[in-house]
Amino acid sequence: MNKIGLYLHVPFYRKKCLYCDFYSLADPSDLGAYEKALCRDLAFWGQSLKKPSVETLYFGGGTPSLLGASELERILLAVREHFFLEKTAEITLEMNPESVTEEKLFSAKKNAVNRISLGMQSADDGELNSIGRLHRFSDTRRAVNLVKAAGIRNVSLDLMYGLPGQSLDSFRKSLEAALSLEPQHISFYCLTLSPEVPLYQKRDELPHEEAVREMYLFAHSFLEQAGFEHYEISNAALPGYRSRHNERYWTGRDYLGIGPGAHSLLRGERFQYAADLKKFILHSKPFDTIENRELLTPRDRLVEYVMLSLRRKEGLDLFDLTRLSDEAFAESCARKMASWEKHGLCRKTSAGFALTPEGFFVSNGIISELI
Amino acid sequence: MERNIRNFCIIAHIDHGKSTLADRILEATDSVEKREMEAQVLDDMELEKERGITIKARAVSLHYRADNGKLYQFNLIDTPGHVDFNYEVSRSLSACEGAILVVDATQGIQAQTLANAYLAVDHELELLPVINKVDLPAADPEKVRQEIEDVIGIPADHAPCISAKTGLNIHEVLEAVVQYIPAPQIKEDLPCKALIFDSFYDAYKGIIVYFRLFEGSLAKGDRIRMMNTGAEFDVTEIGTMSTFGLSPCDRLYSGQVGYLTASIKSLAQTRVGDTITLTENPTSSPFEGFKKALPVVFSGIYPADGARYNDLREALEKLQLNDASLSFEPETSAALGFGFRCGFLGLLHMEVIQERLEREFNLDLITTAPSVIYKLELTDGTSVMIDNPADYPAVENIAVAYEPVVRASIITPVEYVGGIMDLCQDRRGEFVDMKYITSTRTELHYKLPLNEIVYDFFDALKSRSKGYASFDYSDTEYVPSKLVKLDILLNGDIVDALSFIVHSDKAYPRARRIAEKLKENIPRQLFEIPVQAAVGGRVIARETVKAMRKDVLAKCYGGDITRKKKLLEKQKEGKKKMRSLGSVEVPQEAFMAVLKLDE
Repeated sequence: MNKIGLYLHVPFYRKKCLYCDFYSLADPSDLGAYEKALCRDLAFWGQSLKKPSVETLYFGGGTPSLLGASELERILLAVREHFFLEKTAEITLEMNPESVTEEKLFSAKKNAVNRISLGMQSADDGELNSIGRLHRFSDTRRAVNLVKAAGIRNVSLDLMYGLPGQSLDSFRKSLEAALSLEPQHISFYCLTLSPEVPLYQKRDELPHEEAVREMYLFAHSFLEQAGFEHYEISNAALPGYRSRHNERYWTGRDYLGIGPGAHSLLRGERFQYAADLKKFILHSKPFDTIENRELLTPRDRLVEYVMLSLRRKEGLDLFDLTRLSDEAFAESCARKMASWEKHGLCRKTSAGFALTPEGFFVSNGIISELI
Repeated sequence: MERNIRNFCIIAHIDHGKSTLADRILEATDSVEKREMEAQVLDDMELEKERGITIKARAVSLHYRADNGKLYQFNLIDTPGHVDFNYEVSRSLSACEGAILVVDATQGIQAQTLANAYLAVDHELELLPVINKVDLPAADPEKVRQEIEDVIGIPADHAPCISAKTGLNIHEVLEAVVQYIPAPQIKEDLPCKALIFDSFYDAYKGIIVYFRLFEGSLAKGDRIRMMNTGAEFDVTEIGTMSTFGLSPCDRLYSGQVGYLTASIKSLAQTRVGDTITLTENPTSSPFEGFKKALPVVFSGIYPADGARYNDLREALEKLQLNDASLSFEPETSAALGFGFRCGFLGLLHMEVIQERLEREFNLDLITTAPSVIYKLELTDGTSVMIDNPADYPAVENIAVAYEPVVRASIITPVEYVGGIMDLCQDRRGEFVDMKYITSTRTELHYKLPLNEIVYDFFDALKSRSKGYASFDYSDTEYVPSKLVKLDILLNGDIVDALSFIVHSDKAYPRARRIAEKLKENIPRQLFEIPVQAAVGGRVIARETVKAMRKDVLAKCYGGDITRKKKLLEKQKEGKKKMRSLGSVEVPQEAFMAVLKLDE
């Protein structure tokens, strides 16, 4: 078994954000049952995959910081028991600023959590309110200080742009505020509303796409100037601090996701846990609750390669592309990329092509043109 | 031997009830069991049923016992009602002694009522007017009776007032046929002379020829000759057409209408209007008026999916089996790939063919703007006929250009006259005259360039008259004109399929409208696309399709690659439906939109 990344989905929250379409639940009374089910499935997978090496471990949600210190401890114990958690593994815990406590951080640190991802989103309290966040910017500042005090040296801040009422100026202030907290990593996501989320009703109040584009391009140059490497469409990091876990997603390496709604890619097959906490707690074996199984065809692999590699700064390697398709296809891609280069959407790399920030922002059009 | 024969057809403006009356006649003569009868037996093409129009002529023989106790053979010949098929109509009329002229009691005389009536009179047919739809509340039979007398100039006092829908007074119509339509002249002693008025392809029997026998007789086994094409055949089957199919017999005689088969492979050998005679004992001269129906409107037809080129060719071949007037030849467009340049008798013919291709053969089509035939005298002294903008010479090589102009007749309620005159003016029409049919309806005559009519004129006329105006045209003549070729450029490249020929006064407004339409219909792309319209290399209109500014999945999506992949695949599928013109993706709708600029 190759090395894997392990993703644990914690589907609880105190208040659901108005834009969130991840599977998550408000009622934390099932937390105990959830933790037992998670440990049970960790045992199952550890055994069925013959205790594989785990290079990265990621607690995502929902709000993983709702896990108490003891629950976190038991889960990490189960991971260590059933998997081989590498000494150098990147272990990330997503936290909402308002639920960060000294106690939790102490427990996290004790259990070798070495990276905290904080959902800062904005430094503007009005904007935070408009998207239904519980915290204020002061919570983020306090949380970062606590993380540092706990001795965790790798902090990522999530920011959002394209928020209702947001301007380029307020976004710039959020970026500046974020940098003042000296994080190692910044994710900046564009607010994207699916029709089923509450905020969709207010989609008319969102900034115009031209303004959103400006924010994106500004974030790029601002962060690059500050020494960050804009290494993926929505991510920037100081040298050496890329998210190793997320890089697995973008480079097509194996990862196992456990928890309701969690996605996996294992040995050329993608699958997903049913987004249903009851099923997750009650099932007798994980396969009963697994759905959307998709064995990747050569065509899938090619499409995924194009789509994922163009998300990254390194871009697309023509040698890899030829290997996944044929020379004619690679050549036609190269021709198209060369024509887009004139319009500032692409740039040549030593191995092939990558998208410029302008290209990132219309990458759907570019990818669908190539595949 | 029957000699009590009546050969007649029914003529009417569209929707005045021609086919329904035919059904009632068939029922009343007990030719068709009611329960077996689908509505409108004579129109047996699906499309005809839906559009309520008759495209190709059909014929049927019926038996009717009249009130005088005698048994009559009625040969009812159905005719296409539209000007596009004027030649076919005239051949069908030639096979008859009389015509039932159906006029809608609520609408009165319309453009095709007049056109068909005049055509029938030209063929020396006895006209039997019938006023239909008298059961409707808006019916005014007496007013319509007066209109028929005043406008067409035939007596209408004996015209039966009927409702073909309810069957009211159908008996009167049958008796009137016996009484007013003359029996055919019997010339049995002369050599065989028969007129082909229709023919169609049957998968089992080959071509089936419908004819009217004027002189002599014709029997199974006879060797026949088509006098105009010169083709000779041995008759393998001969008979009459009943409502339940073909009824073979041994011999047909002067005055009768029937069919024959003779192992004929191609419609080209049995042209409508040709004269059949016997090889051994031929008649002295053929019927006058034979001609090959020539296409007047041309359009490029391309499969939306280039892979279906062969399907399109097969479909056109199949349609041509029963429609010798449809012409097509392969054509290549840089923009649209492989397709066919098709020639049609007129606009309706073109629409019908396009619809049949899409409906009966499940083809998704892209058609180019219809073109007429231009005559050009070149500076080197030669002259050429051009039906494809792609072949249009450079302007410096043209000495004089001529375009076809038709005489158009428009009948409309008076309140729409102003709007219609504006329309005709806008379409470069030359006013000829205006006549009042009644105090509320008038007939307008205009000379209109055909290329203005082929371009969405019908739709514009309908919308300006709330659908009340009717339209017909005839008598094409060529007149000198100031013509230019308008080219459309996308991202700097000429799109050949969008070029067309236009009068120089119309070039600028047309160019602006097309550029606007294209801008509306071409989705934003990765970079800015200039849309230009040019005459002879000079750009006269320009629009810009803006570049896509935001098209990215820049949200946090966990490890859900599948959803993102599906989204992109879907986006790609959307692009597949578009035509790639150089570096520009153009959706099918854009090609369609430039054909309808009046919206």
